[in-house]
Amino acid sequence: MIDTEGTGVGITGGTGSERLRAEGVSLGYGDAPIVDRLDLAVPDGSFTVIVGANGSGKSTLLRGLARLIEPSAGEVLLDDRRIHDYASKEVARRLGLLPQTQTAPDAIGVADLVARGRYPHQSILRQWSPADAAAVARALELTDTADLADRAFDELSGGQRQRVWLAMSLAQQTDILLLDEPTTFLDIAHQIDVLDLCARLRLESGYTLVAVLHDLNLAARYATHLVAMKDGAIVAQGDPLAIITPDLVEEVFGLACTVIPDPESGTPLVVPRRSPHHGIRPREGDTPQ
Amino acid sequence: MTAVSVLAVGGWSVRVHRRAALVGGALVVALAGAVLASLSLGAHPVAVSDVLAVLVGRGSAVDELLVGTLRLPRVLTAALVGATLGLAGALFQSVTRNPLGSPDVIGFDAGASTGALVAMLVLHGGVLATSVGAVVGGALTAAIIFGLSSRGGVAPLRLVLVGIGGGAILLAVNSTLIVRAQLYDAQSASVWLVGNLAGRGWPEVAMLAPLVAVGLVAAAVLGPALTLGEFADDRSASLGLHPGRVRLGTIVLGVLLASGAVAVAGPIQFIALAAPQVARRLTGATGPNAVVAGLTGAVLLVITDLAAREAFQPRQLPVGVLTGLVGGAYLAWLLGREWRRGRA
Repeated sequence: MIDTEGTGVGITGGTGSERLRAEGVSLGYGDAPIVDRLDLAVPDGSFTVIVGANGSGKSTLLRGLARLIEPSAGEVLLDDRRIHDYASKEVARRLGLLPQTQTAPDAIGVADLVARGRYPHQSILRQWSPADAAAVARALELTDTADLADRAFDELSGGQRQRVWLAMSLAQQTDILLLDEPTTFLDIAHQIDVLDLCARLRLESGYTLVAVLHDLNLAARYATHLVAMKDGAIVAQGDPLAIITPDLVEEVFGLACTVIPDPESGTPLVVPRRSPHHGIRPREGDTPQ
Repeated sequence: MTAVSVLAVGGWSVRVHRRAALVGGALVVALAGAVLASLSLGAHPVAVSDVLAVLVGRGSAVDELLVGTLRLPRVLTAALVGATLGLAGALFQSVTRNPLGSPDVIGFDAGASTGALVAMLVLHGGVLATSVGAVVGGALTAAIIFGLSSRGGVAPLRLVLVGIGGGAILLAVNSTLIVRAQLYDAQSASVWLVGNLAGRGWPEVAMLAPLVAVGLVAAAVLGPALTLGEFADDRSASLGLHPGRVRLGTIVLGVLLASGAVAVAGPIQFIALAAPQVARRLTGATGPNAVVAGLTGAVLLVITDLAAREAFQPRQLPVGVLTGLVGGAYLAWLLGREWRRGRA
């Protein structure tokens, strides 16, 4: 877990040459901005994880970075150009998104679903090429879903589905991949499974990853660059080891806690304090005999 | 990729779903068979060989009258109306991601009927005015329902729910129009409202043929985009699609097709609802299956119209009565299934 980028250089906290940056960006639905004049530079080749309480604007920020919302002020830059100035397929060849909630067409097969990730590389007169086939095969292999290729998507378990959705994003062959709460509907084992896969994608395939995660401890374990948000602004960012402190957790989540080293990974482990009002006390019948 | 073949010529390549192509070919044969049967059978049967003789311009005068003048334009109209309805249904069901999202369920047929009834009963227009009224009524209904279900983009389920509600209101309007009309006008309007192909001829064929051609080509070209549109919007947008634009364009095309069918034959139920579902089950392919749905609709309506014409002799039933009967039962089954799947 080495933070490769400089700390606190320039207004965006980066070097200004990162491929994906937000500069003074305000985002929201309707009039009230949820994210207010925010700067962020996503370090190239990082696993950037955005954390924050519900309503802190972290998913809105991610949707803004993915070009799904147009900023009311400021701009999102992809390769030094306003992301809204690109043709939409051009963006889709550089930057992918794993949305939080998904729907699949009725009765679609796994291989067919993953192949739809090739859409930005295709046109009406060039609907399929050997490069498409290779990309789909590679995506299935990377996500360990090749043996599911001939199955119907409806029949898969939640963990398998998330792997297949990820495969669809990988078939897109972008360098940057945004993930909106990729672990939300998964049990603990499948959460680790998906995040391990993401870490491997960064190390072995050179992806730059930006994820929104709810679980602070998982975020601390996997992030190479952690971004803590509150009320639509960034409170702290950097190496999780450097920034996660009881004070930060108190400020961002309003939670009193102790921070200890994770015995498994050495990353910060947030242990909530017992609440004085709702503390867990052994009931009388539970006392050991 | 086992189900898909790629046809590549030079730098061009087209993906073809093999079973869908086979099913399409089989449906073309079935359609030819149904058309021949419909030309041949009747109170005065004409042998298939004589039918073929008429079609190549060598029939006897009697056969020429029966087959060429009386039956052929009606059968062709049936095929074209069926294809139009099947296409429109496939486009709407794809856009709404819902088998109930077909134009006869979500109010577009009712709106086109309102337009036609206003032209017929209030403005006392003829056949042409009725057709124009249907298209205008369908377009207005689409604009209103689209506007009401739009809140920074149209949510598919909201479109279906608003459409079903709007359709119910329009049916009441239609009834009011009929109740307030003169008796004779009311009777002919009621017959029109059932959906009928009797007496339809070459003008109707000439009107629908280009519409079907445009619809088939557009649906085939839009196929990959439509299929991608059946994913959640965030996903399709992140793959470079403009889900809103695709939806709007598809609905405009679908409304044009559905209104055209109503203009020619009245609001024939069931075909737009069932043809896409039958097509999907036949091909096993994902996406709208619009071309196959159009062929399925054509086959269904030619056969149903043959039954309506000949099965109850000496009387003829309007084809809409038969499709309504079958369609009601099918709709009940579909609602029950969707209910169990927690979608309706």
